[in-house]
Amino acid sequence: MENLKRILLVEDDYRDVELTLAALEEINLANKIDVVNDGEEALDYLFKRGKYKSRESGNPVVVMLDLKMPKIGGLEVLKQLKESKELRIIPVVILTSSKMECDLTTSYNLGVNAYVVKPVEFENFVKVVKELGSFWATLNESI
Amino acid sequence: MKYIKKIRFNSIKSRLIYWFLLMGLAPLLALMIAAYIQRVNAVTISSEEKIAAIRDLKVAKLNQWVDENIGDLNVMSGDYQIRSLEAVFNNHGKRTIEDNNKLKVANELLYRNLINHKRFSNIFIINSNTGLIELSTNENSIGCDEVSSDYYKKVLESKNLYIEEVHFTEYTNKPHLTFSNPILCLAHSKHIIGVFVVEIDLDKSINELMFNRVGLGETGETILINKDTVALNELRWYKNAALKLKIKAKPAKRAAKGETGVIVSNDYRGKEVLEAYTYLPKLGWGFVSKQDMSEINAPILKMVHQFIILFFASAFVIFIMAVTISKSILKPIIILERTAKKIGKGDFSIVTGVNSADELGSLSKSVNKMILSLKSKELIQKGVKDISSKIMEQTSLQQFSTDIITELKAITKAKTVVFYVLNELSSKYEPFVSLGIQNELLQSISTLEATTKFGKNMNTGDVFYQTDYPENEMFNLKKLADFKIPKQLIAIPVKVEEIVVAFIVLLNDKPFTIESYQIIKQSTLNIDTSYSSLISNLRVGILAENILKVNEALDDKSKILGKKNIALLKQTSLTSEANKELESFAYSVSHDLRAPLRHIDGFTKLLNSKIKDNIDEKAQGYFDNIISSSKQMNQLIDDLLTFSRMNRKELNRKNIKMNIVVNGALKTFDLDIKNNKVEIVIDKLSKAKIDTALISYVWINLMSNAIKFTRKTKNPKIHIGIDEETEKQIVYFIKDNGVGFNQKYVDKIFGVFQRLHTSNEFPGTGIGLANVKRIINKHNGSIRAEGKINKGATFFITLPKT
Repeated sequence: MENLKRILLVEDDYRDVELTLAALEEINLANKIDVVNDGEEALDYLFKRGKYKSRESGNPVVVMLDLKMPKIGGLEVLKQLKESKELRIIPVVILTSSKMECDLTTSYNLGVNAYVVKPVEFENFVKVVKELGSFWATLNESI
Repeated sequence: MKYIKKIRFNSIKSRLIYWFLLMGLAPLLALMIAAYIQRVNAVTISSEEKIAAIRDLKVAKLNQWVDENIGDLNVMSGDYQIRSLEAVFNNHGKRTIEDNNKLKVANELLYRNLINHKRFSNIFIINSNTGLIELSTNENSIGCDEVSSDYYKKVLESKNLYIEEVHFTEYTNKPHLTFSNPILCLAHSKHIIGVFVVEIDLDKSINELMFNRVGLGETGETILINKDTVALNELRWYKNAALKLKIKAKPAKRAAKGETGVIVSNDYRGKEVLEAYTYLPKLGWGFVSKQDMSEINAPILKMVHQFIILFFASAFVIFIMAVTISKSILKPIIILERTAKKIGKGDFSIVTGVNSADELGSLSKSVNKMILSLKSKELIQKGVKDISSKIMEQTSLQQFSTDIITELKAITKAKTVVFYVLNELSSKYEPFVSLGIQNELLQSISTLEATTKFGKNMNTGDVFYQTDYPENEMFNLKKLADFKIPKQLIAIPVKVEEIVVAFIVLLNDKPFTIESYQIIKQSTLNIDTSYSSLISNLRVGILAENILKVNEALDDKSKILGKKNIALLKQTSLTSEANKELESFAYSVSHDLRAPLRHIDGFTKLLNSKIKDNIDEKAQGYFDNIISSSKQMNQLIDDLLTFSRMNRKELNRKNIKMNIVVNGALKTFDLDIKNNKVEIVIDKLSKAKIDTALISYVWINLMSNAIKFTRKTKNPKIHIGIDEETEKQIVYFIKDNGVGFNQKYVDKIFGVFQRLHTSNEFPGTGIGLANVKRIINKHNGSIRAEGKINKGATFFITLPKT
């Protein structure tokens, strides 16, 4: 499938969304982001159904995924994504406040590509998001 | 080859014999067959030629005989006096004296001829006018009417010689051949006046010829037959055959038909014979010469017999050769095979009897080498087993050490064995038990210093074997004048938790065997384990004894306390439940607190950066306060999390050098140390059995405090070292020259949210030291603090060694 040249951010907290976008703005990636607010929307987006039935086809270059979300949680989204033949090649980064070991091991067992705990300090948070963004951007070239 | 492959041999010997026989006898057999065929051909051809030659010779003689007879008859019947009898014959009935004289003369002539020719049995003349016999050597026959006789009729008809079939004469009862010839008139030679008849006795003529059986061996004979295939002469195998025996054999029939040839067929007896046959046209007879095939083939048969004897003799010789050769080849193989079977049954005796210089000899040497190595392996296994069974489950050190040195002495044949044990202060190894040396000669060994070879080797923790051990290096043996110190030494360190707690020394004047060394090497783990479990059992025993005493005393007290306990128990269970709830509450709260804190921090900083240029110093101060508050809150949450996690976590204890942990923790403060120019002194720190991650947290916390509280000190200094070390525990300390504290409040510093300084002066959460205390307590250790205001503080951590 063709590359959509977009980053999918799955985050239920609008403040976190804003902070993430602020961080990505610094490396001019903010306009490449599609934001969905829970697991259900994320799956709709990825499988092109419901609200996203008519979206431009293609996979995002990376999915930044929160774990604790209403309706469908991040782990379930990750599981369904990695079970799909078309979608399993999309790199997924877990971006969460949870330091719990069980969340970490489950994510890696499901095939996550990176697990990042959101730093509390804004400088560090910006640093991490920037690094992630530019890493995948470079990896997928010219977004 | 297909058939050869099918043969299965159970032994190499039978295979060798089989091939020897096959290789030896097959060509011999082929040669014999070829010789046999050639011989048979030669015999057949030569005997055929011979029998035909005999036939031809006899036939020639017969013809000659017939011609002789014809000639004689012609002479006799052509005699003038006979022919001149014409007138006499004509005067039949009225003979003159002259006639009678003429008859008399003729009669004399007949008799003379009869005497001259012995084969003639009778000569007579028939008068053709009357058909009566006029003259005869058999007087009885004179006057007989011969008109109907063949020998008379045929001559008159043909006017020529007639030979009548062989027949019996009435008077002699012997087979006879009759020749008759016309007597011609003197005047007219075509006129017949009478018939001259000669009867020939076959016994005296042909049979003589036929009985001459030269060249026909013991079974051969010649046979004459008439046209009806009736035998005419006397036969070898049939009495009075002449004119009586009709021969039905094939050659006889063929000969009678006028054919000539040589064939093999059955004769009148039914025996197989080689026969040559032909036809005598003058007589109308057949002739057969024959010989038994059995006689002809006799030489072949003899040859076959010889061949068979030769064959079996060769087979016997080859068999003996094969057996001998295979024996010499197989003997070593059989010996090796038996040896292999013996090894299988566990008998390791050496191969003997195979000394050849060939491959078998070298194989035997290899097998011997193998046997020796197996033997040595078994010896080693047995030794290791013996030692392990001796030392297992021993309950007293005395018994353990005595048993092990006894066993080692027996196995290694060492002259002297000494068991040294590290004393309680870990300062000396003292001789505990010994064999083969007086105890007075032994001294304790103070240290295992690397300066001596012995100490160096011992420090490696491995068994070592030293030949020709230098006397001055000899671990402390008091010298006696007459005690010769053995120079072969094996030392076995006994380790518990990597520390050499005891060792065994074996001494001998002769070198130790490789097997002994191997047994010892392979037993070290067993010895270590057994010793270690023995020691711990002993400790448990001592502990149990102490506990028993204490228990007795406590028993009394506990009765009193029992009542109080019940009340307390109720409260405790309530408290522990509350504690648990608190812990889980703290855990989830601290998690959930992170997100809003992150938002506060993030948006404050975003907002600050947006309006930074438009606000005054005071407003900027407010921003800084918000930001530092959120930072502090984050630290608070972290500590709370650690605090709540502490009780749930199992310790993961490992033996590790404390210096490694301390240095790791120190790295966290590289920047602070550099900025504040703190002098750090770290002594050599003993090993301890700890959960590395948690003790690391302890050091980080204590260092963080030390750095924090020396911030306002000139020449800040932090010193980490060991205050006291016993067999059971170590006391580490960390000392700073910072602001210190009032010893009065020392109880408060390890409580949660207890602080001795304002956060303005020294920021902190008040949970750090509470966590430190919990961690140390979990390690069954303890922590205490000493301090004086402005004179620094010292924290003492006591950790058990095991």
